[in-house]
Amino acid sequence: MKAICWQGKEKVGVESVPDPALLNPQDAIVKVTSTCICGSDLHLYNGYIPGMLPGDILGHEFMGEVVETGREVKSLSVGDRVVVPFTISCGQCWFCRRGLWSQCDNSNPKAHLASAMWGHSPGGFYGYSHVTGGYAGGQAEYARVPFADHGPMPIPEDLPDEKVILLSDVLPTGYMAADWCNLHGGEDVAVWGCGAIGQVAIRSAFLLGARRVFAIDRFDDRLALAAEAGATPINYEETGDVVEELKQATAGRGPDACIDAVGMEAHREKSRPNALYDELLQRARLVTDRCSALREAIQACRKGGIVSVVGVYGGFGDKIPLGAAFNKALTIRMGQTPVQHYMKPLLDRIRKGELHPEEIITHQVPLKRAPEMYRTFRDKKDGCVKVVLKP
Amino acid sequence: MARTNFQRTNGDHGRNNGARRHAPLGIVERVASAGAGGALLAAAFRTGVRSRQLPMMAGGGYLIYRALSGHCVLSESVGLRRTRPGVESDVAITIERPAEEVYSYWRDFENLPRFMDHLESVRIKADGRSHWVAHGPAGMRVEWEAEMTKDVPNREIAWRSLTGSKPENEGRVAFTPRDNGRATEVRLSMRYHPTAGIVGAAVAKILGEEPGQQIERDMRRFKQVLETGEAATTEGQSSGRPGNGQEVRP
Repeated sequence: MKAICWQGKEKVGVESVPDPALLNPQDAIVKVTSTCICGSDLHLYNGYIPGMLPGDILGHEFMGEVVETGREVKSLSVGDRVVVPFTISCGQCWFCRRGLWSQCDNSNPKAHLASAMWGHSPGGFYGYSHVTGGYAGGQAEYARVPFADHGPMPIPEDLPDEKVILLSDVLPTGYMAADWCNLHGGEDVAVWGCGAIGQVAIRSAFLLGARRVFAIDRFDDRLALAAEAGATPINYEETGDVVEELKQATAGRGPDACIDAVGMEAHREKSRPNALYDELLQRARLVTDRCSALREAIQACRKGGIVSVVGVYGGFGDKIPLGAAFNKALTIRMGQTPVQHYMKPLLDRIRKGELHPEEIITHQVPLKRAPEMYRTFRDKKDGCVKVVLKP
Repeated sequence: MARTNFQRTNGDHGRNNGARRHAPLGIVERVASAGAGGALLAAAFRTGVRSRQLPMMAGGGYLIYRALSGHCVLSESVGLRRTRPGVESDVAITIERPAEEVYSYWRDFENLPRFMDHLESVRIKADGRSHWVAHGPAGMRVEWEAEMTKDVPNREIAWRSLTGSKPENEGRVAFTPRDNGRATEVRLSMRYHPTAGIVGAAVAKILGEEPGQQIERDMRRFKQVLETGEAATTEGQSSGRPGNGQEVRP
């Protein structure tokens, strides 16, 4: 089959690889009909996530048709159309039983690597480095799905792929970012990063009762897409001081909740000393994470407010304003999404017409065009927000 | 979740790690080394870069390297800090299954190769003793006989190799119920005694550079098998690497 393989920093290729086989009794094989490039795949592309090996098959957002099931798979049958969550979860451990699906104790066969880095290992994820399992990903014609009874969600035939493919990651992650903000109605929310996750977070914040949502980015097309959903755009390259701007807009109080949908590769104007400092440290591998979005979110948040972090961080950051977080009594929530927890409720919201995930998909192209789309997406060219690949 | 004591102890305390032949420096030595190295470097640079400052710089650089790496190449090269070969590992893990079930699975030693990577087979013999086969480098096999030395139902199992076996080894595993009996804390202690010659070398190789880590991985698989019925794996999956199907371990 054809698969998109990581070959090194800024190098991905279409390669011919063997079809996946069942390796365990609870595995299923899915024939992929749609698969996306995620913003977090760009961290792999840019070489900032450790533990990648040349030849690794990329992709953690995919859906398709079940074509084979292991002898212990009970809830799926050949022919079922399913969306696969990026989180691989056993469904039996202490963490899965408490809904912490992304923290599964049993699904990462290389847990010792993650454990050495982070103290404990999260669950396994598709196509996202050997630290989180080294599982072959879904940017391919077929994919192996372990623990198939505890992940893939069957999709009714009347919903087309583009309505549901984002249930694999983007929709649950963006929704969770807003869910964590503990909105009761009338709040001000600020969202750093207007990529696909930020766009969903903005829409979800309104859905959950936010009065105003401030959308912070530097690309006008992304800000325009945010404005279409009702957000107040702030182009940080034009505004300069985002914290001050948010203070003005909220008459001194600050946003009730701040969402970081940026993560470890935050950009800032090159003229700013902070940005240059972060970039130098990261290039010298003294830090792995550039934290300017997180810094601003903490600095801007109102006293007693919530900072909700869904942008991916991998290792160590520098100059995180702990004093601001502590003295303002902030609540900080962060983590990989327990996708299984959100899939069904969000499918219902799609059916009811409350969420329209298809409106943030900007590109649908054949799988073999993935290498050029990685570049286009990374460089934010051609208005690219979300790429769906069709095997 | 899991803890390997050997990583914090060394030959001075009688707990040994066969693969790492040299005991690492202690934290006090490392901090002192870093401090002295930094001071040397600072002094050397303060007086300007001239040829007579070079030894100071080299010395300072070496002390900082020693602090960061935790190894002293100099004392190791003259044979100081050498520990005896042999492995002792303690690993603890919590399994979401009742102690009766966890105990029963372990009590049947023939199950052990399902999660212990270095074991090829364990066979229970008619006299109650067991025959263990481990696979080593280059197709080599190591075999020994073992007997159970303690068996407290649902609580504890201990075993050791028979006198004269190579490698001489013993193990003890204790099961403690928690969460009203829904889960079990499992504490494993394994010891491979120092052995000279080819068997000793093979055991060191089998257990790898980090024997504690290998046993920790075994225990994670034990938990996976008991909680989910299978051990998570990517071995045999497809990739774009040459010689496909061969899973590479980074």
